[in-house]
Amino acid sequence: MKKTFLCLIILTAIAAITITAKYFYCGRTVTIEKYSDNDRDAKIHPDYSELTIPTNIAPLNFAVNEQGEYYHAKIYSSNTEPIEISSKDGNIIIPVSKWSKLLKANRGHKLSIDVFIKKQDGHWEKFNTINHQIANEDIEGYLVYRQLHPVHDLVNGKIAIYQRNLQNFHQTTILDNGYYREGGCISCHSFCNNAPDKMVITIRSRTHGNSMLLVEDGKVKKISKRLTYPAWHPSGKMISISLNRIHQVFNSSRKTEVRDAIDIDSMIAYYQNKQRVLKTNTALSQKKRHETYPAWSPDGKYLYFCVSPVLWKPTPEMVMPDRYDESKYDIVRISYDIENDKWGQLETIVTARETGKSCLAPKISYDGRWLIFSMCNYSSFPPFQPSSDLCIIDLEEGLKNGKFTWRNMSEINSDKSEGWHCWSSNSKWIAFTSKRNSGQFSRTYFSYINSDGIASKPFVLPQKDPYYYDSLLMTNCLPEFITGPTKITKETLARAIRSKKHLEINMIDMPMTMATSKANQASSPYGSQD
Amino acid sequence: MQKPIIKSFSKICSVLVTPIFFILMFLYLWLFVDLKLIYHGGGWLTNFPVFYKGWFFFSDFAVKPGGIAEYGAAFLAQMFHYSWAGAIIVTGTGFGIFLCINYILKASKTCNLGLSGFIPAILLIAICTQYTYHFTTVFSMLIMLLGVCLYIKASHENSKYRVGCFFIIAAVMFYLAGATVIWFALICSILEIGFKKNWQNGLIYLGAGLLLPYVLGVSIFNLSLIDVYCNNMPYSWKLTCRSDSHRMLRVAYGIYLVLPLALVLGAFAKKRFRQQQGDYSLSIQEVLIIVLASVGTVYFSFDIERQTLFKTDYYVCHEQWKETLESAKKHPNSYFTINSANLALYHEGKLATGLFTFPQNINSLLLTMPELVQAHWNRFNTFLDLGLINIAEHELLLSMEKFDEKPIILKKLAIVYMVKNNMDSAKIYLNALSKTIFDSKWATKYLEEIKKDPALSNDNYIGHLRALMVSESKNYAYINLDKEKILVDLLKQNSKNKMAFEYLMSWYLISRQVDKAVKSCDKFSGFNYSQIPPYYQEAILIYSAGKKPFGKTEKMVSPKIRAEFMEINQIIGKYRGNKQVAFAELAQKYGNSYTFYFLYERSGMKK
Repeated sequence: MKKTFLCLIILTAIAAITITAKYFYCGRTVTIEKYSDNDRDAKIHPDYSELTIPTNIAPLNFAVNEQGEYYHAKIYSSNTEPIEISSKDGNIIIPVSKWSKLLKANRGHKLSIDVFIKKQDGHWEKFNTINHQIANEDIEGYLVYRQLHPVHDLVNGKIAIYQRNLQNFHQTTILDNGYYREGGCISCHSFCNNAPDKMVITIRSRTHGNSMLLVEDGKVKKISKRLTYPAWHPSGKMISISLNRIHQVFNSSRKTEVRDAIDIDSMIAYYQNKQRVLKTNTALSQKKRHETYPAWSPDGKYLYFCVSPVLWKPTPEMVMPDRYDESKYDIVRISYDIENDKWGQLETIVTARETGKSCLAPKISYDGRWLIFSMCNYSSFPPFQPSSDLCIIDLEEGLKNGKFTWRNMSEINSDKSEGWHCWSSNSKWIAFTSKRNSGQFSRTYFSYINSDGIASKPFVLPQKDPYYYDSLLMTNCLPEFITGPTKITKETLARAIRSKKHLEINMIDMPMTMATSKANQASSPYGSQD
Repeated sequence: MQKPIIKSFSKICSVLVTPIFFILMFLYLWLFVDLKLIYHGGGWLTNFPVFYKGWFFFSDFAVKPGGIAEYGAAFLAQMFHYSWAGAIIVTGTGFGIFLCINYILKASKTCNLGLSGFIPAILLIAICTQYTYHFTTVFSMLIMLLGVCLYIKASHENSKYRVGCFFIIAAVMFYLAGATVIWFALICSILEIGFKKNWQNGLIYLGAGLLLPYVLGVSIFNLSLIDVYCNNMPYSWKLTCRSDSHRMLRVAYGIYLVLPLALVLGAFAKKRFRQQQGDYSLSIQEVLIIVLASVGTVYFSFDIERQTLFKTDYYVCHEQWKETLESAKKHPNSYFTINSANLALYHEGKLATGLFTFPQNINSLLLTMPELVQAHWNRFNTFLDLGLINIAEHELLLSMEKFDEKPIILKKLAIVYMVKNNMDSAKIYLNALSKTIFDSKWATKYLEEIKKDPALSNDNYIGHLRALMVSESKNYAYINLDKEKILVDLLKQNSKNKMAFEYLMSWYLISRQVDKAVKSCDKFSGFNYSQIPPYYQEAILIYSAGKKPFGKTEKMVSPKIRAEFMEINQIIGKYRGNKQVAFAELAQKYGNSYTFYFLYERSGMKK
């Protein structure tokens, strides 16, 4: 009897503490009857103001950076009851379910947020209303991205790929390098048509060698080759992939980004799933040229990629060639007939001569209309280039006029590096990384692309804690949209990496260059990226 | 007559042994092991946990089984920042384990194995003496032991009631300490089978121990199979994925094994290990075993080289230069120790006069030889002080890869970005630091400073480093740094960079390039030396030996140095020019001189 009584007391105490903590943490909701207008915008953090947002995005929690005793936010739109949140510390933490209901009921409408603060004298002040536009089109349900410290060429620490549910804050790990011992790099990942069941991940590991994990229908196959940037053919029957020998050095005096990376050698190959063949074509692997960043048009008839003339003799030593800052890439495309495995003629889309800069990482929208690419002063690696900006080309217009005209997306670019962009499957949303807030740490941003190719004000991937990014020492990169969560577990992927079993593949017409590696060759710890 | 004396002596021993043991353990860990060195990590310990204040950091742990133990251990481990507090934590943990084991053994009447309660504490001492960190798994075990005690306390004659208690406690324990619930189930199972002879319950517990992590962890918490069966156990991949975490891992296994073994012995060897109820005192033999085991553990697990490495690095990072030198002198057998000593010598103004009091080596000045390419931690202090800000940044970021977000790394990175006027990045590091327990004050102070003066133009230290930083566009390859070129560049950039000058001179001396050392003598005037340091004078004499007098520089050599140089020559002459034979005598008299180093490439010989 005594014991039962004691248990009951303990349980009641725990419940009381939890409820009290929640009450104080979340704040009670207050009713504001009288207030005066403060005719200016409230300082909020992150900058979630005047955005276009999808209905299926997680709550845009923010903090009010104003002096006040108490804070209140009223979030409302035309078709539903408002959400009212009060807070003692200025953090406006919006309940996921209420937010989600509000957005869904008001698709295509305006979303408004009134921010109030209570001054020391007990008087309430209201700032200018924050207005967002709720887009008609949804964003993909999930975002896959890689997270790591801002590494300087050695991946000894934690590096992982996560999938984040964009409707809430739930995140799970797809692969963590801890699972396959002694670190190693998870280089790149790619999905076929944003579908979660067809994925490739490229791996560099000192212990288990270099490999590409091919995930299809819940099964993982390991291909023991050093491969870098993959791109699925929309049919899912093949993957084009670049083979890169990347050298990285750092500048010992530059005050901005100290790292520089260039491709000492590179080429493009393609892997045919059914035939288990890795092959290339002379147009994709010329000796006098570097080829990299393959990307397919949504109809699968064109492969877009980047080319640059070879300015140096490939060397295995980790030194920067003299003319590294002259290395600039063009974007080209080549037609392809998948049924007959026939490649056509190269066509130029945009050149370094025309832009004066290096044009990299083309990504074509799923409706085939837009091509977004990174443009930076030099190099093959935009994240290390503060000059890297996103640019857009209207491909339909270009095909009509016979000339592809590019435009700097100044509406979303900053003076820091932008890159690693990807498209949602409805071609209305892009995710990209930007170092705009520090110059060192990449964060993922989203932007809506309207029918004229104009991007809306970008907003950072929402987090539960409004100050999350202010002390996050990790850099987020390689965002890729997927329509649902990938079901493959990190254990399965890690087991495949650790396993000595690998898929026997045939190599046809593959030249031996600095970019190619011997099968199962262990990776050097150097040469990573963010 | 003798027997009662022995008996009462035995009783006194038995009563006193526990407090004496734990007091000595506390003092040993506090004063000798110096647990703050484990907190610091010394560039060796990669698995010491990161801890940040605040709800969001806690909530990450609170939502996963075992997270509470992990969080608790990480929090308690921060107390290692103060050696005495760390010693209290470790001793307290050892004592807690001791009490729990004793309670469990007494409850099962396995009293003759009472000394087994001391074994985990002795093993904990060994783990700390080796400067390794396995506190998380040990702390999780302590939580499980408390769970076992609770289970015994709540036990009832009714076996179904016991099963009910077991499941409730096991579920709570799984949430608190993760996969260690398997161990909890094993202990409860041994108690049921071995002592209550209830095979049914025992088997249910074993089954539950195996199934519970799956049912709760995978189905409810949606965790991976590996994590639910491994988290917080010594075999967790989080420990085994790093080769340096393997050190003393077997000892952690040992801590886990003590109780099951004692219980199995108690259960299946009744006569030998079970006595009449009430007599739980230790015999003299047992007390002796404890003393011998403790002394033996301390003796065999103590590693002076490792301690020196940890100590010198700690002192360097905390700019305690005198202590660095004292510590380095005790065991100057590693490149890293000498490198730390050189930095301390510079800051103490003794590099030009004390360089060869340590056994110098061509590799120890900047630690840039290929085999030490991954010794990033050991280089960042020197590079930062020299003004090689970007190289320091590079080394610090690589150190963060290996040692995670350690406050000392975050602090130095914040400095780097403040020097580079990249305040946005600096603020991210400062914000992270402000969430730590012991460095938040420093970070908050700088955050306030940045608010007041966004460029930190009034900060002397930042200003000093900015003045030293290389501003010309130079790309140094990160492997095989060309030491000479870097130091010459630094001096070109700022001719007042005394550290660059002294390191350059040291490099010339250590690499026996006396010609270059002598040619650099014209730069002395810029550094306010009262006289040319003796080593440089010796270099002048070595350079001029056999040559015609070469002017002003040679005249700078003092008569004393000249006399010593002559004597060295005479001693060699005495042995008919046979350097090897003259070694012993020269080492005794001039073992710390540059001439001796020049002859034998050895230094620090004179005691």
